[in-house]
Amino acid sequence: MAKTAANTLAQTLSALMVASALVAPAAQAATPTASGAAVTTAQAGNPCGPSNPCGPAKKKKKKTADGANPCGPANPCAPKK
Amino acid sequence: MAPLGMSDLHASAQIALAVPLRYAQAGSSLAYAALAGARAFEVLRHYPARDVVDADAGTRFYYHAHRLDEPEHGHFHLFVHGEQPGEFMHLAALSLDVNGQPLRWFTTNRWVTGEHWRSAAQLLPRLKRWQVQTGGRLAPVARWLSAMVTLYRDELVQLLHARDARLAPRFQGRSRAEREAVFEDRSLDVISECPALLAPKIAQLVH
Repeated sequence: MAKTAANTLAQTLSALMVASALVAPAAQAATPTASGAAVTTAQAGNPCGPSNPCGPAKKKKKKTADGANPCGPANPCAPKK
Repeated sequence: MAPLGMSDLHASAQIALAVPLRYAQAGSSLAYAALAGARAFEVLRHYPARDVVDADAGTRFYYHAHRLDEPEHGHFHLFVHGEQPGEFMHLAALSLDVNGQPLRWFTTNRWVTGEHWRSAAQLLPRLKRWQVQTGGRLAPVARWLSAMVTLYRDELVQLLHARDARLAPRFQGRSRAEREAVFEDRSLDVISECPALLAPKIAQLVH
């Protein structure tokens, strides 16, 4: 039983290696900034950026009528909430 | 925590291989699938935008990327929900290369995700039963991640303990404010890491 399972795993791994080699590599992420500079985790702590760049998505907040929050959803520099 | 049986490991390993195999046979990969059909892959954007949330299991994940000059394509962040609404803990992150092959597991400092910090000992029971289910196009990705967590459970236990061990000297004899400063230290993002390459892992199981 264990030997059969091991053989199946070995065969699936081989098939995966062969099949994966035929797939085109995925494109890297593009930076949304105009400068084209890479955004590092540490740099992401900017005033209008995400202070916790890897935190889970937050629930949508209703826009305030006057858009008073400069780093809120109405601001183009704000992360998507 | 009870050790996993070989049948559990073999079953998880089979899923960890079969899911990417199916993508590859269709001319795709986990690196494509993780983007959830998005046309553009932008730095720091979440894929999917609202994360995949399994409310029943109290788990969630999403995929994103930071830099353009890394060997990795992007990484999944895996979370567990806490007892209070809005409370969450980061379990680990799992990176993929441009071919969709897993590269490494890693843990992060608190500021990176804004998590509610818990010790490794507190997280281990959640690690043991970490599963995430969803419908739609990300269902296979969720199944793959669940299998990967089971397959690499021992490594993830060590990873979380290594995280705590690395921070411990920085906390020793420090005030609360100083400990908070460590959690917010922008120069410290990844705290512990380990390989997540499938071939050597499967070789361990087979031999």
